[in-house]
Amino acid sequence: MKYLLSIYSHGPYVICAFVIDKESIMKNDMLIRISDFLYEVPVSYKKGMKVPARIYADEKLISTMDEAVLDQITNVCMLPGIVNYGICMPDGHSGYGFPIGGVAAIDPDGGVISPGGIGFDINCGVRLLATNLTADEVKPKMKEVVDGLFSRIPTGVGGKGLVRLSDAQFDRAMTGGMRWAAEQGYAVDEDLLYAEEGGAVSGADPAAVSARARERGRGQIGSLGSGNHFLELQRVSRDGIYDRETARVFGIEREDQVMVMIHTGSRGFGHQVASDYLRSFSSVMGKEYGLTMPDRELACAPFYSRHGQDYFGAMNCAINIAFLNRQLITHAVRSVFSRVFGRSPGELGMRLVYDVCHNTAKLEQHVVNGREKTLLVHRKGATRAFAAGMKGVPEKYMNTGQPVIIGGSMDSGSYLLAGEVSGGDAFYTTAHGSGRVMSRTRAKKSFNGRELQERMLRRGIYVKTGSLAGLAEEAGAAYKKVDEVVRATEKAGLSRRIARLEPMGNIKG
Amino acid sequence: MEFELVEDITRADLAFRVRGSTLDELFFAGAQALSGIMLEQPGLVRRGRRVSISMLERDLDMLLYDFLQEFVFYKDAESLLLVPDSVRISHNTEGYSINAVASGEQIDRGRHRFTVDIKSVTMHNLAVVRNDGYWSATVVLDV
Repeated sequence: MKYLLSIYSHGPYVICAFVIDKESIMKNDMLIRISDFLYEVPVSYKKGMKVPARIYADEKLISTMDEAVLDQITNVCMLPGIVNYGICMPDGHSGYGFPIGGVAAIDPDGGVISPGGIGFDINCGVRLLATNLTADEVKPKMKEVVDGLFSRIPTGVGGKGLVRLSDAQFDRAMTGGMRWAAEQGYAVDEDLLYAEEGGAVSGADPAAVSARARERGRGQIGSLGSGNHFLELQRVSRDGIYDRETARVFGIEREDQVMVMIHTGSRGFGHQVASDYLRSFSSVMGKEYGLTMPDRELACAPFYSRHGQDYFGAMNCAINIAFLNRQLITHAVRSVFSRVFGRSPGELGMRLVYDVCHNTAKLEQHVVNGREKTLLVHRKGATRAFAAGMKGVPEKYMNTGQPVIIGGSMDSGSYLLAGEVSGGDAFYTTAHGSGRVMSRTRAKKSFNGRELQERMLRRGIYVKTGSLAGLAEEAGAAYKKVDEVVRATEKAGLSRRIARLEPMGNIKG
Repeated sequence: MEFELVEDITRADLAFRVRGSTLDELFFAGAQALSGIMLEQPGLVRRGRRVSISMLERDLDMLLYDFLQEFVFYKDAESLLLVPDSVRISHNTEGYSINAVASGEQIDRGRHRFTVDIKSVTMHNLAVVRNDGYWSATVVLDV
């Protein structure tokens, strides 16, 4: 049900020009408009909040957020050690524990780590590969490419991974991530330069990983998975380059250039690491650490405790396995392109633009009250967006800022952006996708997978999927408009648009 | 013993509610809901391999959480799709224990059409309650 609603701000009441979901958080009169693209919920909203909550969005986007987002982000504000604000990104929507798009920077000295602030799919993330092909060159071979990718890359439930690792190899992969992939011939050395943490985060501790996580994850390394995970062939939109100089640095030379986007995570391995530690944190947080939270999905332990350090070590293993997973898929993509186009990946210009993480907690340096401080930044469904000159940005991007990839729904489009110096208030974080406006259940009732597939084909987008019902859940209309999310992201100063990408072909589980 | 999808808890993920006149029925329905949510035709799962599940927990809701997680684990670790055959729950001074048998088969991608994959059962809003003579549980799944 939808209806018109008046909106409270610092000034007089104003009437919205758009309809608002009945359950929208705009209804809540504790929501204070700080600017056209930033709202705040004060600590007086809920007992136990240590800091205010901040939501980056314009009026229209915030009207699409449900009340559960407000409830979840204000719960986040109760985490011990949280600094400045609990933050929600423009693509925020309700999940469990943290909202999707939730960010919490926590002082590791005395503060906590929470598996719920990272999510079950640890280092779910997205990477973008460039090619030197044009859309016109790829179109005649689109079916061959997409079918080739679909048959080569395991997708969906029960898809076996591209590699099967021994115990010793698995341990080395947990600490080595993409570095291990390069040693085995699945990556070129240059790839390691263009991933967060060089594709291998430090602090991974295989001894902290359970036998169950190994058992569950072993068979899925090098697989796409299902749900919102995808592999997409894209073209740079006409009139879709907004900063030609930065685009060139990122590897985009012209409109109609073909790119490949890969969205997946650590698969069952990461899911089990999260499950194991969520379970153990929920039983020890009260008894051993005297901590309570309003939602058990926010179970936490002091960062510098045995439990906190064990989880951090295991989570870092899952981060590295996710990097490896995306790399193995990249290797398969290069191989399929090479076969179809009869040229080597190097000749096809298939270089990695960047690989970004969505679900992580990382120790980073940030300025708080004028002083540099190490913070444990939890991001769940949110992207790090380091600005030009910041430590951790690849040398090649030092003057542009880190590339940020925002994947839209499969029938809308995606964006390549860059981190901005103005992003400091959000701990240099930006949106990660479109954000759902419709539950999966409602999407499945509202859309027909086959009709959607055929409609997209008529628009020139060839989709290959193992699950038409799953496709219906991912229909574009179930998501916010990516252009609006990106506009709010840019206006809020979180990151700036570099290029727009539109889908040509897609494989999904 | 069917499940009901609940829309107003989460947009990103999936929530369901089950009921039972006994705890045995409730837990059975919960396990059955997992295959009902994941598969287009859960009735096509053949009952070849049997697995016994025994657990002890102090709290009922955590027992349900752990029990359901077993089905998710087998699906990924062994590509084994399980549906419940029998569930028996008892209560003693240490808490609640479950003795269950489930059976199923390896995922056959030609025959088993998935609508969604379940990454995990979550503890978000997890509750096992008794109302009007019925047990009910609400469970949020990460999908």
